[in-house]
Amino acid sequence: MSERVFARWRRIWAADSWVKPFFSTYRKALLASLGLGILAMIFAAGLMAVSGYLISAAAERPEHGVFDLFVPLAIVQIFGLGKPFLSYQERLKSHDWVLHMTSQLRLKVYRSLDKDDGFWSRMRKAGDTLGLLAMDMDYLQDLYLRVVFPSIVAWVIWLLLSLLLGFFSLPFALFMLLGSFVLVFVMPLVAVLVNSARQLRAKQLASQAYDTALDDISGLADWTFSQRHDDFMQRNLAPMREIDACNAAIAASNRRRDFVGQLIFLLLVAAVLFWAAAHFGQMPQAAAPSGDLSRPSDWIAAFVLGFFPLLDAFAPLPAAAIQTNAYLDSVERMNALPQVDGGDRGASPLGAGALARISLEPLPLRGTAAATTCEDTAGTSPERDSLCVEHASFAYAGGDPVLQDVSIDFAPGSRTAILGPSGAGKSTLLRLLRGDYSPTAGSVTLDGVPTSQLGDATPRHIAVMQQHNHLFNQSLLANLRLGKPDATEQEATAALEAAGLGALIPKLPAGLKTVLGEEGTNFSGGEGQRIALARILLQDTPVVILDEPFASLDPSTERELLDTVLRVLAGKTIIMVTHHLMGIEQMDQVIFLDNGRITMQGAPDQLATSNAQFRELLSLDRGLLL
Amino acid sequence: MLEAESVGPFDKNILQLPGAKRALVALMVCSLLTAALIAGQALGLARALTLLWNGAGVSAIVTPLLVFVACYVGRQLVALMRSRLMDTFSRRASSTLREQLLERSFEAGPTFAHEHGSAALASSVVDGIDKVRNYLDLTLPKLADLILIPLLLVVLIFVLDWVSGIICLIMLPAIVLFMIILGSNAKEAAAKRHAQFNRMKNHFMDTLRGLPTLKVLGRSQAYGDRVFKVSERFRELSLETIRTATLSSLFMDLFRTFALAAVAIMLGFRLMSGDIALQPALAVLILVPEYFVPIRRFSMDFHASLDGRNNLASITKMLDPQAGLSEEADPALSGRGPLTRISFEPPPLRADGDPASPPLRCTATDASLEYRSATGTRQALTGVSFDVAGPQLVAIVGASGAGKTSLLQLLAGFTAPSSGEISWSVGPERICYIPQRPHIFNASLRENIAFYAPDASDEQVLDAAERAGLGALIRQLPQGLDTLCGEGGRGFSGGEAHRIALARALVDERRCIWLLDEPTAHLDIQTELELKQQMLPLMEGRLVFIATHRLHWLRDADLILLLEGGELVQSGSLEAITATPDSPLLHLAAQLGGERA
Repeated sequence: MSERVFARWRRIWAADSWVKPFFSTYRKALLASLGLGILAMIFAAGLMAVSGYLISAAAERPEHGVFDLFVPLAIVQIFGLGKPFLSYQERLKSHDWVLHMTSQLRLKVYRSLDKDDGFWSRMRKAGDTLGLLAMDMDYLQDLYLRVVFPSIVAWVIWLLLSLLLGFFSLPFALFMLLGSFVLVFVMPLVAVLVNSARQLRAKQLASQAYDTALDDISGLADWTFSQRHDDFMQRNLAPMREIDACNAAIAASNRRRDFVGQLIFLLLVAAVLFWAAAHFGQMPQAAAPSGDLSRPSDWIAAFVLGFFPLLDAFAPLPAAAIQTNAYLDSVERMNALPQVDGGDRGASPLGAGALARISLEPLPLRGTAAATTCEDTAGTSPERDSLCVEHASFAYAGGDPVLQDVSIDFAPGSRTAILGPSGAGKSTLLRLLRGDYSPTAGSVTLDGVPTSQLGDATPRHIAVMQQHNHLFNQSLLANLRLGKPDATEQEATAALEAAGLGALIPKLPAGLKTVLGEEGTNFSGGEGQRIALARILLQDTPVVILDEPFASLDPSTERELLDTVLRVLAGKTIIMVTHHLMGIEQMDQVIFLDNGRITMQGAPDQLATSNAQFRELLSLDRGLLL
Repeated sequence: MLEAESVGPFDKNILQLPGAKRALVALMVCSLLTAALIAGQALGLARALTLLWNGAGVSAIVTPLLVFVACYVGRQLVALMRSRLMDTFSRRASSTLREQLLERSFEAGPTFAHEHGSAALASSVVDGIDKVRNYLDLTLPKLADLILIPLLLVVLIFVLDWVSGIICLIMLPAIVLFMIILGSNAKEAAAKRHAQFNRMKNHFMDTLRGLPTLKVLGRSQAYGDRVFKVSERFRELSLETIRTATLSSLFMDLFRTFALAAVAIMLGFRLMSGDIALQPALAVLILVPEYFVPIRRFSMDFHASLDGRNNLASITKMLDPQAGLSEEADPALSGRGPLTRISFEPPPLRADGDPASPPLRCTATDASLEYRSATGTRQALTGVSFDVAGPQLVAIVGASGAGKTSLLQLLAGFTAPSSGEISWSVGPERICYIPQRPHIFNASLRENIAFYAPDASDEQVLDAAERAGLGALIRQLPQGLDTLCGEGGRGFSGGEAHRIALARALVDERRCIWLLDEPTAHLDIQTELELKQQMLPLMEGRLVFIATHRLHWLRDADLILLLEGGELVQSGSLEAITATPDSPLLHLAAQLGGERA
């Protein structure tokens, strides 16, 4: 059992590139924060110790009164007033460091995901995964603030205590070194080992319980109609009962652990008491550490009372250590993200781990085969902005072909509609057009250049309007400028007007500067798509891909938006993926895909006269009286 | 967070939980015992230290040391007992809450889930209640300690040394007073800090979610620097708020250590003047830190406890059937389950009546539906009346927002009409509702299809699947009916999911009333055609209601209910409805873009 835990720690630690590197960044702030934490602890213990000494010494009624006790009186005040400020500074410094680290972490995560082309297609529930990632980063913040820093402080205090005692008595220092060792190392370790399996189980069960609850609540209509009340309750309560049992066992073990820890601490207190009694009591000749003002026995209370506050440093360690199990999961998940710094590791984003487990399809390697034909076609002066798919086939590495021998000519300024059932290969075709992948056979070229070689230049040639175009929580202007960074406010306003949003700007609280996603900017689906359209207008590319941008709109909104889109994008090459035939008569070319092959292709009016199947679909779509 | 000031750390809802009163009494007893043991511990230790100071040998301190050790151990034992007790109580209370919440979900049905959000509800069931348990388990004992221990200890300190007693007595109200003065400030700062953390997190999440859009726009690289810059700017802002937010803890810490230093110094002076002996002085010095421990512990995880308390409040609200925000105009009808919101009136059996096939009949009498929300009320349906009997296809059509889905929800009994009545001649076991995107459970394909009839044989399941057009798909799956579906398993396209829902309805032969919400609108046109052709023969002999804006269904419908702005404007056969030249249906057809002559 314990071996497995250790092995996991070792494995994660070795692969880790998320926790380790940050220890060396902002080293000064880190050391300052730790130093302040240690000093605060010393002040807390010192306050009790010196107070004990002060009272004992005062009880002797020294002849010069206050003057004899000037030093302890001053120290009590310094410690008493200093400790809170040290703790305060320590909190600020540690948060500063952790927030610094978080900035770096965010950048790293962002770059990882940016680099990983496959991430979005692999993530069935990309939103959930992102939520997990955000949580992981919170966990890492906690890891430092609640586990790493307090542990280091406790260990240093432990060493300092042993050193201090070593000054008086080596054997007793050794005894305390070992005794406290149980508190600061053994207990946390045992806590981790005893509970890690249970905790892992409880966590798995909890996530399972959540999945089941979400599943059943999403399907509540079916449950209520099925009238299977008992099954519903049983299905949901069973995992939760098991979690309860698991948690009860963990709680019981924590209780016992805390109890034993307290007994050990009591033992240490008693040891300090006996040692101090033996060392300082009954032997007036024994050398008192500081001068001849008082009797040595004044130090007994100092040592005993000064020892109590150390419990504050030692006691939280086991509970903190247990938390590392949760953090390990986070680190493991983040380790599975593609690396940004180490060059070659990034090439295979499908490492072991949580992210890879959700993977649906492997990443294809970008082929270079098409590059050879590039120059031939480039030589024969192709038409401007002509997008050509010639005998293109595509298969994901090791998979069945997704596209087979597809040839489409998207003439400049033409409008093409692409239809097909889900899984027909529409998305893959779009990816080939955008150059995300290159075809395994045949070619996809823009002006004779394979689209996969356009690289960073792609957004200058091809714009995409998706079903969900993300609007960022920034000003409307900043959102629009993503299409054209140097767009003036006039240009942005003109684009919004063209997209049919002219009336919207005056209604916004701060016009173009209004931050989206805040109060008063709840756009309807249609308006959101129109903002995306304005962005595309600013981007001003010769080719525009419309990837089902109307799928979640109601029919009348859809028709209005479609009319606007086709009007303002006139003259550009339009490729529209759609699931029905609205606006089909305004297209130059219709293509039906099925199982990766083109099953129907032609001008809509032609197909309407010559193709019975198309007529049937058209009749279905038109609905009435045809 | 929002209700922090209104209720304080203690939520009266706790008293409703099973075993709460007994647990609270036990907590009080434990806190009293703890205070007594702390006193014994301090007195014992002070006595032992005083004896040693006086030069006594170790043998002389056995008795006071034993008192100290016994009290120390006793205190830990009390803590152990109390923790076990609270663990049992909180676990029992939370599992009761959980059962009640699930029970309520099942009874109140999909409208309830929709109102609270499925994910939020699921997370309440699992995490939310766990936070409540944590709150009961950890916060309540701390609260009891906070109320009782300082009170008893300060009395003891007074008895030992009135000067120290006064210092302590001044400090505690000072802390409380200070917290109140600083409180509004700190609360504001805490709220601000919370909001800022969330904004920072949201900004990052927002950027990650927008990454595909950024990539398409070719702006993803440039945006990376922004991520860092924004995060750093937020860091500075956050530090500013942390600085003010932790001020309260600084002052509390300051009061505590200041009180300790003051007590020590005053004791020192009074010892020197001979006004007090060493033993009570030491006892006071030991007691003073203990006096502040409860308030420190309590304030340390105050926010976590607020979280738990807020969860308890929101769950209690969810459990209250009167508190529904939107639906349920008639409280008498609510809370008894969706299927009881419609009345079922089996017609009297005729002499030759065949009990296996009762007549199908659905009547709506002046049914209206009003949605209430915080912002006002919205009339979704107004005075809808119809009487439909016998197997037939009824199409409910209208523009979006006309009330199609609302009417279907009324028919399904998910919502009760605000006025009027919906009545069925058969019970819910004969009805089947298929939403626009049917839910596929995380279970095997067999369990999914046999959902309404879990005892169905494989032959029955396969037969239903075949009729729903799933035969080829199942034969192609390596694990056939055992294939896992849903999130963890195989994903299904919209058309496939619909076929699974159809098969589900077919397996249970009693289900002869189908309520279909937009069965084909979101499918691609080829799949739509295919599915429709497959569905039409299955509808034979059934009473089917289809809510749709795809007008091709009208050609197959026996009865059309045309809705406009929540009112039933026309009903009848297609011929009858379109007979008049300015028929609203033709108008709708033009509006939907289906008509382009």
